[in-house]
Amino acid sequence: MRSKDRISYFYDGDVGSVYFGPNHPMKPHRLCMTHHLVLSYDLHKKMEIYRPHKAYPVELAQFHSADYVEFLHRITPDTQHLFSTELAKYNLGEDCPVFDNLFEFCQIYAGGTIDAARRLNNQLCDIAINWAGGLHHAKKCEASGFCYINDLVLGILELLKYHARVLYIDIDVHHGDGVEEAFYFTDRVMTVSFHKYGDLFFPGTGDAKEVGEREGKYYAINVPLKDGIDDTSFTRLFKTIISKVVETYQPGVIVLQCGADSLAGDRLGCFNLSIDGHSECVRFVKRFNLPLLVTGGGGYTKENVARCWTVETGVLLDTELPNEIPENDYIKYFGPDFSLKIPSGYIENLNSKSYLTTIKMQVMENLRCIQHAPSVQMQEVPPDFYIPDFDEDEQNPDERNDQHTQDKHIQRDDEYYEGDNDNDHMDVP
Amino acid sequence: MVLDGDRLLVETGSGVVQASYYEIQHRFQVLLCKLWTEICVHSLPVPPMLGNGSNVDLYKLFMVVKGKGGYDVVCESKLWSSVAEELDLNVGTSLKLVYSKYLSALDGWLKKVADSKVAECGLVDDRDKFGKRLMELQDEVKGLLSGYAEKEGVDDSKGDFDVDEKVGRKVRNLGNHDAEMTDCMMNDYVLGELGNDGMKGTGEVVRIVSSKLGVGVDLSDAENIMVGLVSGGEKCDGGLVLDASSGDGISSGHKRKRESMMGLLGWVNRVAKNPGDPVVGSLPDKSKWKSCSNQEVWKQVLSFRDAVFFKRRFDSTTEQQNWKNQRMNPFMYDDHSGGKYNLRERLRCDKRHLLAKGTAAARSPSDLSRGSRDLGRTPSPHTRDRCEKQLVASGIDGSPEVCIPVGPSHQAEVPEWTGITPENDSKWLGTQIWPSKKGNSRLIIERDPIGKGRQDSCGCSVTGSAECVRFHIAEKRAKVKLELGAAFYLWKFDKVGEEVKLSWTKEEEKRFKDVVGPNPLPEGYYFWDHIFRSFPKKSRADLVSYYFNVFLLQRRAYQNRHTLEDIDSDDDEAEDGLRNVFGHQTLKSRCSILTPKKAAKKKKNSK
Repeated sequence: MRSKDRISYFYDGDVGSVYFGPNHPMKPHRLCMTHHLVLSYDLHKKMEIYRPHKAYPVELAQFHSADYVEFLHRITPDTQHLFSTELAKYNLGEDCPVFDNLFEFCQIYAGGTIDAARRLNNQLCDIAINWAGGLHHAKKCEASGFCYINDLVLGILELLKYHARVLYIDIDVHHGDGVEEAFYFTDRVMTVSFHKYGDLFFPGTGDAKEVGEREGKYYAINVPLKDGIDDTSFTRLFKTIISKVVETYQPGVIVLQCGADSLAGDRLGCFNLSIDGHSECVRFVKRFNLPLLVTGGGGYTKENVARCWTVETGVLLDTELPNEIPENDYIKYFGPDFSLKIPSGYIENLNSKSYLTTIKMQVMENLRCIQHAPSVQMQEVPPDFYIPDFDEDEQNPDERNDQHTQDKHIQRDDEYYEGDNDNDHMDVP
Repeated sequence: MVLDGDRLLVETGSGVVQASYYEIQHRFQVLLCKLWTEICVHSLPVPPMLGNGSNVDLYKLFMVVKGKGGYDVVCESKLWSSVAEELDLNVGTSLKLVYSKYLSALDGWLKKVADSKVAECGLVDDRDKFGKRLMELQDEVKGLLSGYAEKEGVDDSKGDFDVDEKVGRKVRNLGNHDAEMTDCMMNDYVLGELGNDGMKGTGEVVRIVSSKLGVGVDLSDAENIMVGLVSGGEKCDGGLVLDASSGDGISSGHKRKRESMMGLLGWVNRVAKNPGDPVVGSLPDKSKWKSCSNQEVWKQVLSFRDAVFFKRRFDSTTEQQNWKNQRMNPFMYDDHSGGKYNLRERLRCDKRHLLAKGTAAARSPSDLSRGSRDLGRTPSPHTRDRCEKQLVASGIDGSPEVCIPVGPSHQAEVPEWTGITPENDSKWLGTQIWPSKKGNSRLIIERDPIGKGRQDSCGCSVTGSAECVRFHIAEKRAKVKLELGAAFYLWKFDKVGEEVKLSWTKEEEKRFKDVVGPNPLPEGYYFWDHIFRSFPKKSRADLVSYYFNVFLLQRRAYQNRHTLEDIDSDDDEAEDGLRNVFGHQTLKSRCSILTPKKAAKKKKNSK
């Protein structure tokens, strides 16, 4: 098994000072804190760090409509009162305020993801990280949910120049609607999003029924979850689905959106994930040994965002980080424990076992539809990626005779939750 | 079985058996049902009932109409009233309706057989075996037809049985029957030589033929017949084993299973309403499904689902046999959706075959127009019709469907994959900041292992004191600065942490603190507005930088030491005194602050 060794990490010192405005939960300062924490663990010594180019308007217009890009370019907080019609048209002003250096901010994070994709395309690295990117809500002609430019779509479009099939995975607590919508009609991009759904939770899309259309039918996968999902259920579901997806779809490259608002204690999120659970997903995706573009995303409790993405940088670098945060300029943010890991949350887990089973089965059924009929050429020889062999569903039941294995298959009612006999940790050998 | 007085002697090739008129009638109905299922028409209630409450004897109706020259002749000559007379009924027009509804499919099928289109289709199919069998059957059916034409009443039924028996024998000779598929229902009324195997064989051959003819009959539209035939052939290729063995399931299970289906439906209903309903119970692992009894409701549902999703997994185990029987369960055909499932199955066959043959010019009949649009619209073989989407989608959540906006102003333009990758271009790959290209990375003092954590102990007199922390931060900072070189400034590390306050005067700092923190905060007071006003000479970036790097950090340091339970450095407006209020509000609005958007705005502003 080949180990990833070339990691490109993108950071621009200017993003840290971007400010969405008073009371806005999105605080780009978290990027500064993340970078600082990454460096305080000396992780920069194991990777190459790049300053992304500022994406040109014409690059942004590869996906977005030219008029929208032009408007973003032009608008400033001082002139916005002159453009109320346009503001409404482009959905600016509420969740997506106009602030100083808005366009530059977009250029930086979009440039980071585009550069990351290009480095992957040119095989200059195996994993590219852009924590500033991952703004998955932005639509072709409008802003949405703190997102103005959809860097993920731009990055994926870039990757599509070199890869027949791109897999997009989204573990933000919100549905990755912008990316799904952009690639709703194509089978060249499969989008898989795990998110909170229901109770009018933003953005309101992401039902399991949304599977894509036309050529893209069954190439959009949604895993709608309810409040309070915990590490065990989440990682179990994630691994089952993603391993099946990779096996079925055989992507040439994976884009992973690591929105940290699915962590416990997030200001806007409602899951119970610990950093361990969250980063376990990253670890799992890394194991496929496919080119990997990792971006940030949501995350509205700054310190936890910095913790999470630092741990995940470590995971991608195969470096286990000690729990005691080293001294750094921001150490006071991490008090009073000054520790790296955060505990799981205590919100009631509303995801019943049967609910999760239903979702899993529905996703599997949809995947089966693809298996019958691969439509984009599948003959592209996949890299020597590794599919963990753990999915009990796929194993021949006739082959398992040993009593221990049989015993482990006795289903317990608490099976989806923590328990000594939890028979499916999804631990990969 | 109760026999009415009207007994008939039926001569078969190998002897004489007794059969009642009722039996013939019943078998006619069974045949009809089988035909319906094959041509994907959802079953109609048998026997049909007229408005006045009287039942219509379908078999007799068929025979009478045949005797008068067929449906078209009867219609043209306005003979429906005389047909009604012969059936002891008095509503001719209703009979016409019943006939067109119930029997036109059979009519069409027989007509096609008579027109020797079967033979053509048999030749189209590359499987000679089927072709031959088809020819044979065609002869039989011709005999049957001639029997209809020449005789009436008793003679007709004789012809009917005759065919059955002969066909049955042929099938027996082919060794295609399965001894295990004994069916008690058949036993009840099939006597003598005309035993189980014969009957079953008939069923099977009829099934095969009708599956070949299936779509064509259903369309009853000449120009579509080839599509239907082709797809029928395809179906046989793919699903022969399954269908053949499950053919019995229909006839035998038709009545038997109906009762349990009500329970099943109820169960599904409850689960749909509440997935957590205790009635769901716990499902064992998939690997154990096979060993579970079919009496389990969920198992039946799974079988049903299995059928719906058309899994082609066969082996010869009895469990599989059961599943297959369930797949063809009459339940599926008793309601409208059942018909759709079958419809879809056929559509898929259609598409698959068409794709393989590259003949995209197929047309579907009007009731399949949706499917045909799909077919025309996209070359993807996995596309299925809309009704299926709805059915598939019905599982998880009862919430209304949210439509994904589609159109050129929503989707990205994804080029076709050509397999040709553009030449490497070195443009816009980012500027390498680290490791620095100038070579000063040699100066890095590799004392600490990468990813080292915080030391527990240090040489400071009071470990953990403010002085100690400040010392170590400064120490680390100096080290990082030395290491990073130019990168230190590029990453704005010089403007990070409490260093930022070096460019601020004591007085400015005090003013900042005063503006932010009048305690308590008045309603609607946004300190940022005041800060921007109070520091006209400082840029907003500087103020924000100070806020995050110094003010918030200091406040956090205070919280870390003094108000542990109220730590929060994300709530801009919160001040120590108001923390509880705001903390509570944040919690309450946690899941809805973003949705719906309008509400989000209000909530945000109200905070």
